[in-house]
Amino acid sequence: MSHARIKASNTPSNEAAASSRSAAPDHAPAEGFEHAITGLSRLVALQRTAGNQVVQRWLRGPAAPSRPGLPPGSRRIQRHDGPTILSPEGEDKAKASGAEKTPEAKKMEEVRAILEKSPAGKAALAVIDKYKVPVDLNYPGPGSIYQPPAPGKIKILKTKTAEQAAFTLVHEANHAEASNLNKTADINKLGRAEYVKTMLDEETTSTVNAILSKLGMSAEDQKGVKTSPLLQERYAKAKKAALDAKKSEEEANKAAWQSIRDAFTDGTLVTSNTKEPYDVYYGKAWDKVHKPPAKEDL
Amino acid sequence: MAITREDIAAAIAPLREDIAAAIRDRQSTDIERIDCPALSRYRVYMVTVFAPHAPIVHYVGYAEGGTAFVLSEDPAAFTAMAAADGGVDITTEAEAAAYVEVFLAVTRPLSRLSYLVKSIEDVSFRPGLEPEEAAARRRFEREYRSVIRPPSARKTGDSFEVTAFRVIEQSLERVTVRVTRHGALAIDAEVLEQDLPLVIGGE
Repeated sequence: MSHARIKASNTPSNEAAASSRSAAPDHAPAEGFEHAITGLSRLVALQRTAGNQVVQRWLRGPAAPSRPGLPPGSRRIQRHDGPTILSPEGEDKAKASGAEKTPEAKKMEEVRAILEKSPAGKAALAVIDKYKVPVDLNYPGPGSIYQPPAPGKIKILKTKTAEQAAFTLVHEANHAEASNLNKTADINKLGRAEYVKTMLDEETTSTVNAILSKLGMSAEDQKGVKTSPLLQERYAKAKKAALDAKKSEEEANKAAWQSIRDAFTDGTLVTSNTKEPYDVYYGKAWDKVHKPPAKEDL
Repeated sequence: MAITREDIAAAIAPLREDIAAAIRDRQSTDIERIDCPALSRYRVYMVTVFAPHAPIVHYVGYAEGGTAFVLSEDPAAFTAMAAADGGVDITTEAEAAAYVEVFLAVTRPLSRLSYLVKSIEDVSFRPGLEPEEAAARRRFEREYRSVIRPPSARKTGDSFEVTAFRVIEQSLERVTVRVTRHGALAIDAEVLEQDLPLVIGGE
């Protein structure tokens, strides 16, 4: 892919190096590490070059080096096993290893290609790259979520097409940004009304961003895009009405945003699994924390 | 001995650790038993996670000493649970209809808005309809007022055939579920109407 983006990793200092990684085999030891390595720094170098999973396999293998002070077989570095978390680092690992891309890696490339077609899409990609938010495109669901705390994870339902996943990613990226900027509502600190309002505003912006990532595409690129057509129509209609009333572009955008905000509370838009208006749901969530229910009878 | 969240979580953990963790978390998760009289050993639970941005719902099947099941969006898992239960014995049309109602609620799509409708009043239209949308609503209500009814069963040999109606986003479906005496299920759905001006499910 030719898109420009920030490389990300578990080891932030390697961002510059990541972009010039060469292909390495997807089994240990990687090129340049054939000989015994005794220092932790070399392990970290391997981790940066070949990725955590390669290091993990290597450590489990017979050639695993010993580290003073640790018994044989002890885990020496922090790692994660998850093969389905497609962080930007994960993409790099696939490239670095020279291995054939996984279906998830290919899907992520498609997602990125779709989002590169609009300013809102590019902004969402910038968020996940800036905050190094892993994206799991293989989430069994139900639904898709941004899971805090920051940097958090974006989990997208595995049955979504690349197109659907792309617009969901835009939605969830706004939640990720709010969380990483400490702008999301704190359910423990805010009063009920303020919490509900702040969450509604955040959810509205997430929804509007997803709409804008479609509307910001060229007419040709928008052909056949079917995600959330009803909300997109509502947004476009409100904006047009404002522009027809001689409002400025900024005022029209605000009016369109407000039309989506209203949908969350007027019964137009409800939670998919509990069929509640969102203000009702956020209020119940606040109550759950501040007024724990009585003992359960299971 | 009373069943606890920890019991259910321990049984579910091998299948979905994330669901098990949610069940253990009393502060942000509700767990509610769904009554299903046809089951002799198993209990069905709805697990609602009060996630920050939108709820997450799972359905699970649990029996003390038995294999647990994640039932959400998985009709085959429901049938497997009935087989594992070993005591399902559906002998009347009313029992078949009640059993299928639970099955449809528990295995319905959860990533899209879907709900069982027992009368025309259960179909949720959006507020503020445009004139042509309002006309579509009137036409729909006229045609389906006498059609949509609660799940009803009829005996077909050793089995039952249950008919029910459900909405998925902007569509109305007639669902036909064949259920055996011991609780095995097979489902067919027919889309009756599309693009109705109904409420929208959020992301």
